[in-house]
Amino acid sequence: MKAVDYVDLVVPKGQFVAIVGASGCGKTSVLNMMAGLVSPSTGQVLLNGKPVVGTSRSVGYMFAKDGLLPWRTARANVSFGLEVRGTPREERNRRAQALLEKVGLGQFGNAFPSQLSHGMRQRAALARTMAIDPEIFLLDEPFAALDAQTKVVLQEEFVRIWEESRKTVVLVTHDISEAVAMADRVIVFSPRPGRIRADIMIDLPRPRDIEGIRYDDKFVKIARRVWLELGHSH
Amino acid sequence: MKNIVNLTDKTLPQAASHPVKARTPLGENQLAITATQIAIALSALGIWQYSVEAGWIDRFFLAPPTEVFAFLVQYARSGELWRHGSVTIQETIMGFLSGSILGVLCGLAIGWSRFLDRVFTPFLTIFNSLPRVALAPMFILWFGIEMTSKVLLSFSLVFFIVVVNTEAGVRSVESDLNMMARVTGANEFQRFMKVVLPGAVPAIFAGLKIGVVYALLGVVVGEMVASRAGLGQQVVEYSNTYRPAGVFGTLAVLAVIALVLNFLMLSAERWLMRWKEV
Repeated sequence: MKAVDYVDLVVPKGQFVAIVGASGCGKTSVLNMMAGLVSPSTGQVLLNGKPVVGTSRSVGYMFAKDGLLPWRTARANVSFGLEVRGTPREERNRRAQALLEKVGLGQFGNAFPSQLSHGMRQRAALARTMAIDPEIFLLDEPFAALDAQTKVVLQEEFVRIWEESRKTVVLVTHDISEAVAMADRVIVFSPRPGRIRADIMIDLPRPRDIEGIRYDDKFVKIARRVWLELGHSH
Repeated sequence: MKNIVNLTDKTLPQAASHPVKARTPLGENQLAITATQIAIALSALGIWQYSVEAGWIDRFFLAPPTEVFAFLVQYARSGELWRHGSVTIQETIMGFLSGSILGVLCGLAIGWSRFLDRVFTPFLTIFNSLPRVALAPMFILWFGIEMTSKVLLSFSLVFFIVVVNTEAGVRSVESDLNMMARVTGANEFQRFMKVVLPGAVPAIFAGLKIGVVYALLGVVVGEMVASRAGLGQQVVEYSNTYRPAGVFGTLAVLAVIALVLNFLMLSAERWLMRWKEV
């Protein structure tokens, strides 16, 4: 059973790419190949010209589940990646605290995940992903499990932080407006086995107002085009 | 919109008619619960006492609570309680510690390694389904009537329980946590130490809590089969010499030991899993 068929995709450094497709179209499989979590049965994945073998420490990965360790405080969770890289305790605590503040959790460093709301946990997960200062962010529907309002707030937060650093991002999502509002480029996948059906550049200005841009004419046109490319006839 | 307004209008007067301070439900009233428990315990003891004194039950078969109590006072004063009790406690602790330490280590190894899991699972299933207390006479034969045989019997009970629970604990660690650790750059050793081991703690403790009960059980059974000292040996001696007060008194001491061991386990568990309490 093939998840994806023929996918040829080049992501230039610093680009924010969103992959959109129906569930089961293999978009997560492609992301997991980029992350080195699974290897492609044929073909290869290159990162800076080198084949991806296993997980890489220069990649930050985020998924719909927060993956926070329930026995660690928010701060200890954020510093997990630094801890496994051997960063001294003092420095990692300092950096974890700075990142918690960046995602609006400055007051919650000592809270356990069970004491945080859904949105707060996903913020902590975002801080954990940023703590290792990855070259590339791979995001697998990181906002999918959140309620509508928290989702927009977190999307805004992510884009605001991203616009400061402009790291390469690959975002997998089934949410068209999320893809168009956040990304520089949207790749539309066909249903299983996944193939690239369209490659659309999003020339909306930056910095972007993730919520407000949804009412922009240009945004609406692009979103509509993505919708049609997904195979819907009207 | 209109419907919602009507709904609140209807429920409001009803809510207001309730007293301002709600009464504590019976299930939350600690005083009522404790009082009922004491009442039950006292009436059970009272019925027990009265049924012997009224002659419903022969003193030959059942000693009344007052006699059991008198026995315990005398037992403690003579130093016999300590002499036998300390043997049982020592054997239990040694059996429990050796069984649980080795059990946790083997359980972690089996839970972590797919190879070891597939090799040992059939053996574990066989040993676990075997009623190992039935081996008590053989343990006496192999290891003598001193403490060694009891410690080993106790060990054999605790070990398999803890292995199986630890293994289940390792497997119960959520796959997202393992995935998070991998993509965040943890190597396999770090993933084991920082994700799998702490993640298995709740299940390990579930095993240890059962294990501590079985540790005492193994020791008492071993002592009952053949021993020079220990509370199990005392139970047999008192029942063979038709002294029910001695049997019940010794059982009361064993119950206290079991409660203390349980309490220690619960305290350790609470401390290790303080993240669970919110």
